Amino acid sequence: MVGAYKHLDVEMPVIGTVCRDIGSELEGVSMNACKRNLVVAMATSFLMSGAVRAADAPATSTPAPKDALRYQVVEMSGKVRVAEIGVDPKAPTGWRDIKVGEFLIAGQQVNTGLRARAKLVAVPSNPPTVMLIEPLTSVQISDLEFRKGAQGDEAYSRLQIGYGAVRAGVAEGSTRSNMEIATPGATLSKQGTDIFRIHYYSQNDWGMSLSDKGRGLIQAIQNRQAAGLNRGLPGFQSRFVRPGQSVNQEMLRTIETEVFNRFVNVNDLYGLTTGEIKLISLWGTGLNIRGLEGNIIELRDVTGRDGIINPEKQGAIVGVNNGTTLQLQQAIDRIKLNQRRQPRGNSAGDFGIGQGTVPVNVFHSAGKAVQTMATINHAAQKSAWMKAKGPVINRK
Amino acid sequence: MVLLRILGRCSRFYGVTPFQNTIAKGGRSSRLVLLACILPILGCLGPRKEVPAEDPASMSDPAFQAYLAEAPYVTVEEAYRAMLILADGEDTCKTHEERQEKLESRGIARAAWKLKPENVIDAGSVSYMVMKICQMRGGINSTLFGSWGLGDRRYAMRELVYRKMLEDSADYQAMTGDRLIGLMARADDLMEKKGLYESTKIDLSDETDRDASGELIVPASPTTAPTE
Repeated sequence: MVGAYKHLDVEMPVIGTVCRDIGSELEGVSMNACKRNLVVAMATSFLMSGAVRAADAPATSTPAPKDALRYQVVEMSGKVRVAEIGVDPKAPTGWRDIKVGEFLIAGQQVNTGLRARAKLVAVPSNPPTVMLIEPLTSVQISDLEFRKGAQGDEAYSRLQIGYGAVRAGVAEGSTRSNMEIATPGATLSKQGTDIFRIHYYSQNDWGMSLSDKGRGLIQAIQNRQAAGLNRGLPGFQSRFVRPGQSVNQEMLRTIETEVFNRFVNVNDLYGLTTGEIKLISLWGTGLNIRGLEGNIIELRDVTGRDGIINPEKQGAIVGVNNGTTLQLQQAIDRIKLNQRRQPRGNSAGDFGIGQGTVPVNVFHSAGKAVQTMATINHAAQKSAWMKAKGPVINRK
Repeated sequence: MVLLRILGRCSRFYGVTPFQNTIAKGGRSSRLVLLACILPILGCLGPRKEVPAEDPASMSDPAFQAYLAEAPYVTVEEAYRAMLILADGEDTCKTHEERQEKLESRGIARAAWKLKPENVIDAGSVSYMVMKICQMRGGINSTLFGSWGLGDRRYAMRELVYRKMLEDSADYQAMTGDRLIGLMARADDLMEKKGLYESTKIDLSDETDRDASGELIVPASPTTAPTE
């Protein structure tokens, strides 16, 4: 992906975020697998430097076999251009306008201007795939083929967005779909999801979303180092995106439309329902299980990050983001156990005020500071201060 | 008063100029009140330091739009061309003066801004032009004050931020190419929804591409011979 944006003449992080679809076929995929796939994707991106890509780009004159995977233009409006990968979008030559019925193959890039759109379908349509390239978009198709995957035959497609937005949907078919759409800020990988949208305009303006009636799930995994957010935190953070939800560059959900999700004001005890009181009393930090009265929507660990998905299958094997796989109930029990084991100084919910221990520089000798832990006793300090101050004189 | 004269010279505060005489005639207290309410002196954006390798003026509209996506900063000349492409779908003008005249005659840009073509354009000016092109009314402040020039660009930007078309920043901040592209894409989407230009409705959404049972509808391949 660095090479894909070489003409942009900026240093782009190879992968900011990997967005992975966790559908029914991917239950139990651990974070390690996600990281492994991310490394594979990163390695793939390095191979896509300009020189290498130009050498590998198929020649226009070589026709693709009839059963080769291709995208065909079914609808379009405005000016939509196509060229070989490696041709500068600003160059006056090398580009031509595409027409309805034209095929797009691996090694080509598509550029749309304002008021221009192109709707593509995969041919052969197994699995049935439809894609919409929105206005002001530059997307290139680096890989498009049928291949043998780990779980059988799959339609393998890799696209890269330099800027702009793409929507796509894949219906179920006898062949699996292995589609990945990469941007400098995020990579969306799916294997059975519709209808999703990914947009990228800058590192501070990208997002992914699933439509309200969408099918499947997307897990966004952000490479914190690539995003410049690595301040001693783990290299990756993840977010799950469900139908009706979206995620943006802040790795926050911008839209949540879950039926059972509502703002619970924990300060208003009289306004809480029985279920909400139960939730607060059982899981005081509020960062764990969401979904009340048995409706488990999602499960997070104490950091607030997503652990599992798939609310329908309570007994399913699920993954938590420490790399292990557990049954759902085991995962719930483990989180509750971790809560009880938390040190006294757990700052969740109290903003770190008034409890626990703090590091204090007690000795400073010959330029060498010795740091030790000391328990702050506010009452004792106040008492000592009052004694030093002397008795309070009534000035009335 | 020195401050007022400086502000009066700066084109950004052209809307404040009528007050100069009033303040000059008024007493010390009125000047103090004005100073207390004064907007910060804004440094005008100058020419960009790095000259692009290719001349954007010689590019076609599609190539120019691709150039904008990579441009670190956008000049007034480039922004005017981008706004004409957004408004009309294409830019038929040959010179900056033609574009300026066209935008100002349509009320999209204002002559009082006194923007120089080689200078970097600010986000506020672009926001105002986009707001006019998209025929957005704006809020109370925009109507009361922006209509005659006081904070017109600032309130336009606040309107776009409110509509989530632009991320929040200072209105005098330099406009970058990637921000402009993102804004233009969202503005184009808004214009299409409002029917401000004729378009064939090509969409991929739950409303248009799902059958009664909620399954995705994938269009059939065209029967015409493919062109490769």
